[in-house]
Amino acid sequence: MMKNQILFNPFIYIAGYASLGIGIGIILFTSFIAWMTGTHQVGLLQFRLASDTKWIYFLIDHSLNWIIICLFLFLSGLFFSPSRIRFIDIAGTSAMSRVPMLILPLVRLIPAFRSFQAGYTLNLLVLFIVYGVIVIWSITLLYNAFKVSCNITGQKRVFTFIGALLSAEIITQILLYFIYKH
Amino acid sequence: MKNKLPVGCPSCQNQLIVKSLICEKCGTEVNGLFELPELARLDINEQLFILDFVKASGSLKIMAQKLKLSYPTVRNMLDGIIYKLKESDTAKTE
Repeated sequence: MMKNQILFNPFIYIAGYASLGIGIGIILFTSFIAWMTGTHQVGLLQFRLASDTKWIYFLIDHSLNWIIICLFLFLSGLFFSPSRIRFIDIAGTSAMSRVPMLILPLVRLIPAFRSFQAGYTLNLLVLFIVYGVIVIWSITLLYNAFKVSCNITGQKRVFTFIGALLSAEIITQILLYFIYKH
Repeated sequence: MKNKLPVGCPSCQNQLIVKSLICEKCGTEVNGLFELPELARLDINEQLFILDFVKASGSLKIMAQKLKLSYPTVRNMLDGIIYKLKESDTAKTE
């Protein structure tokens, strides 16, 4: 039970500035490994492989998505939560919920997953499966971050979370499109 | 082990009331129908939470440190109790 909570809902124990510190550390480290391996994170639901971009773009990939999700979750909390919510809790827990995003760049440190030429379809398939697990884990963590930080109950919580997540995803994709275009 | 004060009816889950009170020293017994105080209607963990909260001067930060839980988790616990008390108020006025 405790192990499950640490894996899927550590926010029962950690929130606020502590989670923000850990979360920012995770984002910076993930961006660094992503830059080393050329693994782009486009929003929460997509990844791309390209090694010829500057390091700043990898940092933008991870931080922009976090900032936008965080803003949408905070707005949802302001409108629908019966509690007096704190921005620092949402910022911290949503940053910490990005920890699974570190796995993909780490997997790509393994030589077999560095480049995908003809004949490497099995490796690519494995990478997609790993990515599926990462996305599910990240969304579960983010949902629990929202649950703990905003205290919205019942169906309202599910719908506001889906709404915030999808809106954030669309805006991130649009912003990243314009950033990469220039 | 101390006996836990039952607050709900084990048969129909309705709120229980007090029928008699007794003086431990002289055995005088008072009979009647008395409502339980609002706080006594909460479950034991919620009552302990409120006691700790008062002892912590109403500081959620101190409570979070004491319970080794995050601040929003403790705030949600408190809000849950507030919601329950408000519900019981509404049920009473209806």
